[in-house]
Amino acid sequence: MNLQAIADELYRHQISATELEKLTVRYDGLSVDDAYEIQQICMSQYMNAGQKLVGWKMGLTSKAKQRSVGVEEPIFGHLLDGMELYEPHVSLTGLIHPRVEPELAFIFKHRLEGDRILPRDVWLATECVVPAVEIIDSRYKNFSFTLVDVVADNASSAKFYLAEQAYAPYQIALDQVGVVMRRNGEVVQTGAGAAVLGHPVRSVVEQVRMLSRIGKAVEPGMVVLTGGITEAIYIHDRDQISVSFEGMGEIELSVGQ
Amino acid sequence: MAEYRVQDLAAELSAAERALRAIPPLTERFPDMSMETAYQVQLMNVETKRQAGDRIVGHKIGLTSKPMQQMLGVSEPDFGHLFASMQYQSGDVVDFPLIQPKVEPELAFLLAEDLPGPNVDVYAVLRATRAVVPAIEVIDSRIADWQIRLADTIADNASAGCFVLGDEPTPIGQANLTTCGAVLKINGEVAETGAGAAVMGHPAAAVAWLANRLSSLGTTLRAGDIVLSGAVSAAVPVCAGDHILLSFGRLGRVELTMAK
Repeated sequence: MNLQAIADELYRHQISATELEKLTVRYDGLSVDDAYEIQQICMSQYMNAGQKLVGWKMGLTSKAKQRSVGVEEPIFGHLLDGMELYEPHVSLTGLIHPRVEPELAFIFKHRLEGDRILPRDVWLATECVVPAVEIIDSRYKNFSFTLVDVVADNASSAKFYLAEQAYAPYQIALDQVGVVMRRNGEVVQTGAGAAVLGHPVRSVVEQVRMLSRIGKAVEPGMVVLTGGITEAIYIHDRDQISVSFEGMGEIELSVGQ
Repeated sequence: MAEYRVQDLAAELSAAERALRAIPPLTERFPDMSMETAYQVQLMNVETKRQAGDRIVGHKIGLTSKPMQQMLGVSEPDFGHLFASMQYQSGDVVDFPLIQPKVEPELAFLLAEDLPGPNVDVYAVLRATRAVVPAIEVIDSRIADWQIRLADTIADNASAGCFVLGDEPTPIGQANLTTCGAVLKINGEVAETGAGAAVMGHPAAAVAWLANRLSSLGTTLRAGDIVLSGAVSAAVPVCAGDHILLSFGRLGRVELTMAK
């Protein structure tokens, strides 16, 4: 199968923000490994155009989401500098049907690699933990996909924003951090860090393990978005999204055209 | 609705509870049953239990989240009564007779003062509260397959089953009630997470609603009452033998095992 051609097609849809039909209804026999290969090729095109790899993101990190796609393990995608918001404002231009979800981000000072790492390896390599919001945006019609589709589509990555205040990873029990997401003042989602694989540090462990299969690593300075703590909610023009992280401040995200 | 019907419905629900056999929704036969009638049914069974020697220890508030209210097409919560016979201690094996139990993570308010309505607001609730403590509410429905509409659940004591409080209440002044995170684990696996604000934006707002609603019925929340303020996540069905652990961060934890 011509994975390059499929990657080209996805890339065109990503940069033009236009929907496409699921790959899996058009191509028979695409494997998960093929899907990661497509993701890889697709991301190289951005990097050839000058974008920089700044980290990784985990997806399908809750049991509920894994069940909804019928899988037993999470997935990952690439984070590029072009996806990062410098201000907590997101423009709908260039997005198809965006949704936002609250996450905890890890920022690393040391390299992490291999398939046999433990939470303590993660803590030793971690510089700080930062509250974050991720804007996800599937390129597939109706935000509907199978595992292979979503992996090829870079795990639905679109934009992300990290809060200004960083926290030492040791003072706060990250599995217990409560999160409240409000849209225009009304509570729409709540959750706690444990929604992410029982503890967000587990997500980093998984991330490193999955990267090791393709010979990659978490490099110093990189970010890992560990996965949604609540369900993602759709955003619309002029929405004001506020996310409170227990003991870790708030993110106020505005949405515009 | 005539008096004898209220009595009949109360008797049907009471029999279903004793026999552990769910009945079809009351609203199938009486689609127009009002909230007031439904509360009359509830109060009649409350009185029956009191006369049988059980003691009211507080109230529970239900339908406190937007998704639940939307599901039942209502815009306000409901409430039920808590009896001494429903209360377990953290760590207990819960042998309460149940039909189709689910568990919900909640914060319980322990009142130090009476809270007479109307015009009770969040601040009045905070002033009257001694402490909060994590609670697992085991809800149950005497209506088959949980096919409830608003009047069904109100008549059925707001689908109350039994409840378990944690051992270490936190003084109200030290508790963060909105962003406090709750993690509900069943047999060691995370089943649901949430935070206090899932309950009407602030759990004390639900208690304020209850105080005002009771005042419209001529009663009052009393010092010493327990108030289960409402679920911070979706309810999770549980089975015999399941171990349920609710961890509420700095507000403590509570656990129970469902009897086999």
